[in-house]
Amino acid sequence: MSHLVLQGLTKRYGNQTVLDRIDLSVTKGKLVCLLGPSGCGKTTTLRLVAGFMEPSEGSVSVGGRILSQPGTALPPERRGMSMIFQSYALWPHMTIFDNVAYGLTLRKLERGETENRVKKMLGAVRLEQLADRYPGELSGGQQQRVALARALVVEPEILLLDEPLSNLDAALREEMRFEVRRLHDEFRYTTVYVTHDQAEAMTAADTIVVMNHGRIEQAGSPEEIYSRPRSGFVANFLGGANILQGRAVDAQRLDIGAGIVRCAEPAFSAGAGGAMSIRFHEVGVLSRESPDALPARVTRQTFLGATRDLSLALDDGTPLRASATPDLAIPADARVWVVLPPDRCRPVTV
Amino acid sequence: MTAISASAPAAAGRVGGLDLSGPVLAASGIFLAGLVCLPIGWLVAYAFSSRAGDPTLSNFVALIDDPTLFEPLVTTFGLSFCVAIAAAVAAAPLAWIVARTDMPGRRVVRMLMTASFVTPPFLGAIAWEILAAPNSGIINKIWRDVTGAEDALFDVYSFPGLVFVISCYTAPYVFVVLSNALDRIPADLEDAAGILGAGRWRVVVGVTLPLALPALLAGTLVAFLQAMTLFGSPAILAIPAGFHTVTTKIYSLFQFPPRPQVASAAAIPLLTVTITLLWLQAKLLGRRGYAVVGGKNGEPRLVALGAWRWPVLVLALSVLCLPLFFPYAALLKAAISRVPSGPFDPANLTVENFTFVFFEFSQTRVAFSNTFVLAIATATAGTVLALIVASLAARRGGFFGRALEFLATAPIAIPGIVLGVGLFLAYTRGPVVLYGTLWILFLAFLTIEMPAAFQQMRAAFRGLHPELEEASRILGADRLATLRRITAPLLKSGVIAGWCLIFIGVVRELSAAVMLSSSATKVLSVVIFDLNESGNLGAIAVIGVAMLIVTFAVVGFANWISGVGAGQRLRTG
Amino acid sequence: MKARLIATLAAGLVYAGTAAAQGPVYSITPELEAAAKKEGNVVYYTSIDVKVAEDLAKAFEKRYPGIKVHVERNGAERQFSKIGQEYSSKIYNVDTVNSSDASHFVYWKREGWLAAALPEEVAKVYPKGSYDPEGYSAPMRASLSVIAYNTKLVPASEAPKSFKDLLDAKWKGKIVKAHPGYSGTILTATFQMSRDLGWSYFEKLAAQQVMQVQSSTEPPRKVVAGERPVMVDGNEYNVFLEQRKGAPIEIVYATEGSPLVVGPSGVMKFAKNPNAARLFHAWTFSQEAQQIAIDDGGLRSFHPGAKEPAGRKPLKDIKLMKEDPVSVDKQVEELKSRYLRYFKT
Repeated sequence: MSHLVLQGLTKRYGNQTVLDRIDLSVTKGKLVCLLGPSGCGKTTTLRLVAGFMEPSEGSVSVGGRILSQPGTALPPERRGMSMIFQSYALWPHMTIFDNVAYGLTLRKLERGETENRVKKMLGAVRLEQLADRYPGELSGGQQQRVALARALVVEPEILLLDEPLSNLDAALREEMRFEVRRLHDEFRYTTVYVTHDQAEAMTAADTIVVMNHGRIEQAGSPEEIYSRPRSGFVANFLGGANILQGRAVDAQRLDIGAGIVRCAEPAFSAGAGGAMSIRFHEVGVLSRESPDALPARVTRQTFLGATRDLSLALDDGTPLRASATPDLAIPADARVWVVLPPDRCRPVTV
Repeated sequence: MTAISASAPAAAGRVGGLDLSGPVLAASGIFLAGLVCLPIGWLVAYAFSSRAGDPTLSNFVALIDDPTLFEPLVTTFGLSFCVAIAAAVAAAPLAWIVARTDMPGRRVVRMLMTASFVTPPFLGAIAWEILAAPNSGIINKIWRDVTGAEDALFDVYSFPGLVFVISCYTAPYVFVVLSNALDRIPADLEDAAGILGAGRWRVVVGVTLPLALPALLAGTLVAFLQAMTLFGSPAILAIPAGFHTVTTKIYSLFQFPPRPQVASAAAIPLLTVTITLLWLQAKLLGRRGYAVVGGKNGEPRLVALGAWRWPVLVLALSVLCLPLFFPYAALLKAAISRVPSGPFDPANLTVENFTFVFFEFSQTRVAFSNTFVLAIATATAGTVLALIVASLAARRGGFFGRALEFLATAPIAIPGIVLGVGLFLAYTRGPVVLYGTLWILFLAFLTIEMPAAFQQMRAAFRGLHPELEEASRILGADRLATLRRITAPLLKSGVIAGWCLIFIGVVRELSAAVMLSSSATKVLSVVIFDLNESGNLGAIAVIGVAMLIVTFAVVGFANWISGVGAGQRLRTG
Repeated sequence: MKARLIATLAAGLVYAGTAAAQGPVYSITPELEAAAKKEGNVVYYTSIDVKVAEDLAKAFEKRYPGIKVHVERNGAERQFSKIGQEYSSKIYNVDTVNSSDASHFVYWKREGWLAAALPEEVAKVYPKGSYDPEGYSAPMRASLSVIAYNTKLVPASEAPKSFKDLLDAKWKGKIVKAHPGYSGTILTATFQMSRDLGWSYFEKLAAQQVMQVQSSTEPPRKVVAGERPVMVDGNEYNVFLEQRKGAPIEIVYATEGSPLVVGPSGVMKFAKNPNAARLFHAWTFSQEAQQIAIDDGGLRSFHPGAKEPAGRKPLKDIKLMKEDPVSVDKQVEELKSRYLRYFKT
């Protein structure tokens, strides 16, 4: 059941289009991640959903009711949503308790009821003992959890998160990724989560929407996106991949210059140009010749501990990266043969 | 779960109720537009009208042809230029000393210099009459006694005298702007030069000063505009010296037989020059400098003065004598003397001035109450208006936001006396006759003080992350509720500073008040001006000192309020 | 002696003819008093020294408790502009007015801004010709514009005797004078001096580096303070006040004659407190009020019952210049512009 629906959502500033006909529907209780590099339009989408701006075209509707369309936008305060900001936006002049209780006081709840719900929520984010402190006295992770609590305590119809973890250090970020997911599993709000960090998206999301240049590149479950990227951009942005371009021999085979590569999935039309992606760790590297293997030369190799990163060049100079086991010690300039397994080679658009 | 979610929009709808922010914003826009456009419209209309009301350029022809009108223009620009230079030369070293050196007592010096801003310039001018009138002035008397000289050391009734006295009370503007800018120049920029091998003084001259230059220019420009538009000091000092400035000329053009058309025309050059200079400033300084000065990297590094610390302190204190110690000593002495500049001897002591001011002079009470009622009302209304406009300008942008921003800044280009003329023309005829009421003064003060308050608020807003407000909106508070519950408290210290700024501004305002007040609506500045006309220096001293005491008390109280809860903000960093 | 004083004063007066019918004459009746008390306030615009004005107000409030006098003191010319502005804007703030520039009453009467209100006491005892028989103004006070010098700075032997003496090079940079643009007294005096001494006198005086102040109350203060040793014009009554305080100042009645400046009062036509205005107006002409003006204010009075204090040179012994408010009214613009030409302000 689609709950939040974006239809042809477009935002222009003058003649610059920052968001171009976005269509997206989010099922109730699901967490959707908008993933993409900065400037891809993901934050604009979020702010359109929140009602901080008005769309140039298209609409935002929740439960079948249109909230935003050109000319009219229900103000943010009337949307029953919550949002967590990149800066956390905790109010420094209020205690943690008051920060979290703010939304409830606006809803004119009874004092006792407010107190109960705030306490419960602070418990859920494990901050009950800090209720009387001020935000300035808390660590970054604690502030982040207060922001979560403040957003969740009002029981929003839709929860929006704007790069919520980008201000945290790496270790804390990892911890908070799981925390966000845990809280989502606990409360199950329909959630839109904006991030540029693929790991965050993979951990937290039910659905990942990869965006680029104001458009949606691909939407799907984390596994689907990862294992079946439809475009070179998605493959590259999510996990990294080699993109090989060439001319199609038939529906499955691509002539990439240095040789013929076969994809399991038939997607090409003979004679036309085509491209395929293969993840670094899916590239097989052999030290001796083998059928279907393409000859290559090692240009550089880096030991990374768990893996060994190899930069290769096919005979026609096409670069290729591979992630091999660490005990495969091949000196630079050595000759190797690479295997590109057809079931790992996925046709993509570029 | 579903039930809870479904209840949320309903709850949110209740919270906002009717969103009044749109109408409030529109109303403030219209109000501001009226506030600025009405008097200026009348002024321009009058400048291009003959006495009979026909369109004409003859007023401007008279301005150039008639030497009694043209000379004041030349005098005024010469005066402003000299004052700007003098104020910058006096204030710049002092600002650097308090901001960037380890001079002992630099905080006190800074506070005192800022305090001299509270002194109304006309009161300073009167105090300097007591001090440096060529024959009876205390300083000149001492000079003659000590040296046996015939001539005065310094004649306050002269062009240099006027330049000096005005500079005393415009230098604090340059000082405040510059010392704040120097505070914000990050040490790493200076360090960078230091690493490259520049000596301590090379760093000051080569790095610090160029970075502070935009602020110095901005402050000097303010001094120029202040000198150009000041009315009280020239009225007090230039007339005995035998010359007019534009402001005193405009004022005299309103005396019988009144020539409001010529007065309006004479106001136009002031208006034009002010607008041009402000525009130039925005153009020249808009891009350069501010971004760097706004940086936050690193505490400013203080220059160690070493053995020079004490001589520099003496120098700083002697500079402070001019706007502060000497004039106040003179006023205090005048308050308790029969002859203000008479000798220090018991025969000259009296309480007469106090009895007169507090028990005999019927205008004392009404003027005190008018002044402080107006100051508090204007400060409060002005703060609210500035807050609304600044929030719009900072958060909304667009044509509407920019227009509002312009309207709130525009009055800075209108000299007080010109605004007084405009308001007089606007509100002595229908449909709204306000002359003779406190309202016309309220409107005048509000218009005059709006730009300073607005700039204060805008700066505060720029330091406030927009997400803090958005977080409140999305949780269900409409724009006004957000302003009240989040924005205003967070801006509290900025808001209170703005409030004090308006309050002080109103208390020291003379030029518009002198045009607009009537007997029932007298304010202290006008009472002092009237008393000066008849030479009651003793009474002026008593009123002036009482006025300053009340002002400091109010400002102190306001700051005390802002200090309550400051502990929290300190901890929140 | 009294008769002679009045005769002297009358010599300088303008209102010829006999008193008109009893039309404008009114007396202080219990009804007027009651009506005035009901109004409770009276706004008094005056150019008299502020302290004297406040003394009069106090005395009146004591005599008629419950009526508050709001004193608005301005230089006569500023007051004139102010009333002009206010009446042109239909703001009727002022109830009763006193000005040291008698020509103002010529103007106001012509504009129809004055009420006909002639206190009975004036009609009965004031010299005929000193007041407007139609009742639009009556001489509340008179004073002279005089030369004065600081006795500590100028020995009596060297003191000037005449206006002409002040053109001597030894007074260069030592003279203070007030401004006809602000002071009605000085405007009147400037008119009389320019008429009797010629404008060339001012042209030469301007070359003496004269210190210019605004109000005619101020030159005596500047002389006392020693800012300038001698004043060429300024209020006689302020000199009296300073002398009473023991200040070192002495008057010189110029041999050419001293300008006589009459300060009439009138009731405004659209007074908001018409009864209180009439009551206060009538009272200021009473012997009681006039004596206050003489004793506290150092003023000269037309009231035959008022007594000159000892030590003041009686008016009959002083050579006076002649008052002529009608001509002042006609020439005011020219007076000011010629003055501006010589003195630059």
